[in-house]
Amino acid sequence: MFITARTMRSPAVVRASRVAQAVLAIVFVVLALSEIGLAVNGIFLGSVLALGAVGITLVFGVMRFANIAHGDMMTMGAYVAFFLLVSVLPEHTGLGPFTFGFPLLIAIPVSMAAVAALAVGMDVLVFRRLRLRRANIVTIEIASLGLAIAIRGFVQMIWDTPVRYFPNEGRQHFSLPADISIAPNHLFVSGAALVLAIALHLLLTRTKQGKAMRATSDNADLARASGIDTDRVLLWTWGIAGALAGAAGVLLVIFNATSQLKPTMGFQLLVPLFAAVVVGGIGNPYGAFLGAMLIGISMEVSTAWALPTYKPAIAFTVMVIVLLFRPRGILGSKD
Amino acid sequence: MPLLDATGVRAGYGDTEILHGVDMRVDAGEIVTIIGPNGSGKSTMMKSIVGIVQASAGEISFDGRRIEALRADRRIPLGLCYVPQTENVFPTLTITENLEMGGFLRNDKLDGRIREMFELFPDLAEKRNAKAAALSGGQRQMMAVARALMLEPKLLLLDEPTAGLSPLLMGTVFQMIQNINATGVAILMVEHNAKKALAISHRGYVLAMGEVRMENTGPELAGDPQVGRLYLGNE
Repeated sequence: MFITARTMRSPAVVRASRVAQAVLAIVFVVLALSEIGLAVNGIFLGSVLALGAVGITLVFGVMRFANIAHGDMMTMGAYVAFFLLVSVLPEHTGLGPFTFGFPLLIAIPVSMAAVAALAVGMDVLVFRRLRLRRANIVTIEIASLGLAIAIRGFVQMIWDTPVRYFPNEGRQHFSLPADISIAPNHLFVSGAALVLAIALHLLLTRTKQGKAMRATSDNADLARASGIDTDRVLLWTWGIAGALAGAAGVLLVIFNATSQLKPTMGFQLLVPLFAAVVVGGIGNPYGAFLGAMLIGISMEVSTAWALPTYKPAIAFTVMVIVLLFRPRGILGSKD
Repeated sequence: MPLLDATGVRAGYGDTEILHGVDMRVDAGEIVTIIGPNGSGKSTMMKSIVGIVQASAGEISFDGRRIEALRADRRIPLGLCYVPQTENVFPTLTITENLEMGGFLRNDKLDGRIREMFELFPDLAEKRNAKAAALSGGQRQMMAVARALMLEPKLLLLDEPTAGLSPLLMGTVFQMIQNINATGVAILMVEHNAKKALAISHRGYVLAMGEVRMENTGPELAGDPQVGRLYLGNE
């Protein structure tokens, strides 16, 4: 057994740490309430982050590596939807209060399926081969960085110029008391993220395959010794993470006021995504959701005092502060 | 015909060979104990049988079928289940979910078998919705054994089932092993409490340096002065 700093802590230190955590939580809530409009925006941003972060954490749970290509898988989802909206589906914008039209409702599931297939393909063609050769973690990380660059390169090759937009038309924001203004699209983004999160929760807790995913994440050797085909569990996990990344990519575009797509949009989100995963407790999907909300709100609220370009730095600062008090993240297991 | 028949098994980790040609057999309905000093390859032998470690040479037959080339998840359905020494439960899953995972390969409704397990281990029934991480050492061991029994195996492999338990709980676990055996399940276990384990075993093996040094009935081995010198530390 290792003697960790935690086991050597005296009761006084533990009490002080609890007090500090409570103070930090109060500061966070007060700051969020003082800029309630920004905090609400943060929840919307958090919803998009959550879908990406949950995918990263699921893959980490069973593969024990952080997938650097996840951001670019999101980008791919956005561009698949763009292709469908512009070239395949009928033209329509302004569905109800939203800037987009009904074809987006078809494009989202198709994008999810496409990125799920991409993710499964990545595992079969690259990661499985590395596993069979017992490649070390650095090799696997570099491979995932390589895939990230390859996906982005593919997107740039086909869609780089001119600047692309989802078909959209302008819509009024909803005005609420306390200076809160909500873009209808943001409500859609949050609603869709919530539906997907609930679906994932039901999958993980109610289905045999979902429980096998959690079991494999807990202890892969024991899962195999229980007769679970862990290779199949890995493919399922990649598929689900990919589907969530596809949805996150599409939602990221309509989250943006101009509905603009950029080949780097997913990659640029990696820092807050990883921060959310770590803050929540690596490998825990519920933690990733919580972490994404915390990071999303912190990033948006910080713009009241800091330039928006500092948002990623804020995300990492929040992560460092959380780790100082809870080294395994908010919902991370103790040992 | 023995239920499990291993001959000339060689296995190890990476380039390090731990087992240098081990012969071992378990007949139907037997309790067989493997004893030996630390590092003698007891756990590696268990893992080779169950397929978590692949044997590099030798033959392993189970119930008349060669299994040494099969993956672990293909060996389990044949009727052998394994309880590792540590990390033998899924900590973030509830007790019920752990049992469901134990019965992953069953196609029927699991409820009946889960109820039987709860009757066999009433402590677990009380905590059925608790996470396995919240169990005490003894309960965790019960949980691990119950998980392995979900598939109604013909052979149960137990790696140090009493490790870390109080003497009182040890007695309970050995009693449980006898009870399970009485239902017709053969048991192959690795155990540090050699004397107690051999006392309830039909046969035993002494493993040292990756080779079988002795093989005899349980009581004979327990009383053998050479075993005392080799393994039990008696002068």
